[in-house]
Amino acid sequence: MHLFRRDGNKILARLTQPEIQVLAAYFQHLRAIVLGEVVADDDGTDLLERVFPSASRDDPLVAREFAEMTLDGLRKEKHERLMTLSSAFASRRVVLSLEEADEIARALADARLITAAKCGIDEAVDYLAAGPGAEVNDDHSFNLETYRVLTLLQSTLIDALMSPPDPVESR
Amino acid sequence: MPLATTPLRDREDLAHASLAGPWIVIVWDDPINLMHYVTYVFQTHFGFARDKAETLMLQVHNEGKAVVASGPREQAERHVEAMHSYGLWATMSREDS
Repeated sequence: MHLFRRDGNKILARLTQPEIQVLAAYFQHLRAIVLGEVVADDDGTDLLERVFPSASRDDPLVAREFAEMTLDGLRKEKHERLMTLSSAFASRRVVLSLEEADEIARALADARLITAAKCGIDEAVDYLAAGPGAEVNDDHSFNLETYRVLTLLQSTLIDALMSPPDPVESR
Repeated sequence: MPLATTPLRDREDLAHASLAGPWIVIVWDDPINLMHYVTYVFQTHFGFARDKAETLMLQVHNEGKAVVASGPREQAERHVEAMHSYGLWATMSREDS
């Protein structure tokens, strides 16, 4: 995997064929979760609690009215972004416009929120510094490694988005 | 004894005033979203300069939350919806609550 980098007004990455296959299957799984076809993990964890959080901590009426007004639209929007993510990562060479990169960054945020819920991550841990896990031999290690890869992708994508388009070369 | 002493027209005005009153939008710290992603969202959605966006992001990170906007209820709802669209954990409440 060659992570995201900026080239003028395009943002580029490269994937291997096995990475494309694993990510395609995983993104399809995430789309089912966002649509509500899978609402909880095997242990009963609500996978969407952080994707569709409450709009109020202390006023149930405000929270309910907000959810009634926005939930369907947000669900549709997030599902469409995951479709965009799947399409963007369907070939070995990923080329994004800045607008597409913004959509992909948001989709990766949702992907990381759901994956973190699946892994039971509830504190900030630098999974990038930790490096790849030793072996992926069960669902938990698969989810952790997926979380690490999604973090790497989103982190380099944001760096690319926030970097100047035409860096001044040092003389 | 009448059930209500406030005339209907005034009660409607009061209800309208409560909807238009000042609300604040709060973004809460969470262990998943990356710090530079939060900065990027603040710059992109609110149009904040990089310095202000980073200051607010650090406030979220260090103090657990930051007020990022205030205004009428409808405006607060639009900001909260946008933050949720980005995957950030945002809530709204009355400024004086």
